[in-house]
Amino acid sequence: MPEHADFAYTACLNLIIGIVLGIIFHRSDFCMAGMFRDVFLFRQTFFVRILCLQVTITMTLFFLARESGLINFYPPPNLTRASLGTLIGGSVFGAGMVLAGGCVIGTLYKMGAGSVTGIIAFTGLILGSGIYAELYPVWTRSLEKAIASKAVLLPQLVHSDSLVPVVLLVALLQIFRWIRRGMLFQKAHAEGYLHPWKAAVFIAFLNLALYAGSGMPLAVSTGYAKLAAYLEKSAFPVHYETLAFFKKESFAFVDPDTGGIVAGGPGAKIDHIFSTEVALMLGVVAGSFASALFLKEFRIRNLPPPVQGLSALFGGILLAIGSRMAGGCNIKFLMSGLPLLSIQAVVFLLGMLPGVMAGNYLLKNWVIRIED
Amino acid sequence: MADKIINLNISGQICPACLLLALKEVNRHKRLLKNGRASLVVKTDHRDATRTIPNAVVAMGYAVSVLKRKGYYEITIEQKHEDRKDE
Repeated sequence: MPEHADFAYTACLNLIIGIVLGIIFHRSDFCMAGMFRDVFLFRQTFFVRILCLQVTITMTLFFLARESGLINFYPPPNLTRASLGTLIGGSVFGAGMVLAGGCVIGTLYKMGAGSVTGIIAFTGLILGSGIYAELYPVWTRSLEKAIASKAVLLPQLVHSDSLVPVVLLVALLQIFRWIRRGMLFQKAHAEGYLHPWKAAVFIAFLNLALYAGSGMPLAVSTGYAKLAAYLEKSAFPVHYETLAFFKKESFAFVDPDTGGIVAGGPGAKIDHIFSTEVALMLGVVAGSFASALFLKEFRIRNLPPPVQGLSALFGGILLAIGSRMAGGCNIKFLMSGLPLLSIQAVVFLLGMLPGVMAGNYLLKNWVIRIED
Repeated sequence: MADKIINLNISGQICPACLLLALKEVNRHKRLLKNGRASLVVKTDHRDATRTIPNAVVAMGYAVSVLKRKGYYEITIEQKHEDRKDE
């Protein structure tokens, strides 16, 4: 059990940052599923450039924070070594993201603004977490002998402290080129629109606040597993006790201030995942809801066509299973892992791309059939 | 002023159906839209569609305007002003 003062502080920090994130995501419609889908579907790379901007700013901030001793954990406890599971999980996740019409945060902010598809995908995510709990023993056993990377971060693998500054320099040069050509800006007509480049900058700073304040940068998906655990524990308490997945800890570290051990996992208990990810998730839904209400855009939307609804449910299930297989989601790996040059993040991204293409194929041929 | 208004309601549709359906409708009525005899009014509750649809149709040579109505956005796609003089 975490110490009360510390737990309350972390939970409040995550809840408040979650609310701000919810507003930002809603205002800018920062959809990471659309970001990758549209590269293959429409050859549109605008939002990928925005993600590059965000990763570069985050990388700069994390680098400076580490140099100045603002962050205690490098690498953060929620990043581990990459394995075959990361790659396979990334693919499943990529397909799920396209079919669900949103990623693990996209689902939350869309749901907060009243999207029925978002609510369906959210249900799928909870359901998928429960399904994964059943598959967990088989999945971990079959991956026991799979190779894993020697280190967590690329700079550790190559034993070089200059890797981050070099990558940063190249990235910054590219960003300046895009700025000069106006390639980071696109007009939109929605009321109260927050330009994605501004959203990218804000998210990077908020991510630093999370990393410095709660020991771990932005992550979300284990929070869904925890919600599934609470539901399963109340509905099927006997069966819940037999599930090894809900008993494991995802991480444990020593708090440098108190000397106590801080742990977190998917089980139905109050721990560091509760005070970070679950609090953040709540915040995102609340922030997006408030933003939509303020703009008078909140309303429970029309039901999607049945095939799209089914796709959202199935996509949500895949999102949950994929993120549990990989040990994280797009938010943790792309928004937090890539800026630290995490090997897990790179492998996840490599797996995600073919997954997105497979998702696009299903979307075009089964879900949205548009004939001319 | 266009004589005919073609309405397209894509509220509640998931991404990327919004853009795909709008583009399909634009292409279907290409001749009417291009010579100014019709305008296409797309009704959407999707905020990002106010970025994706206008950007796509402007690149295709149409004029576009967006109005916020109660709970949804109305995107009007029509002939470009410069093209109107040719008539």
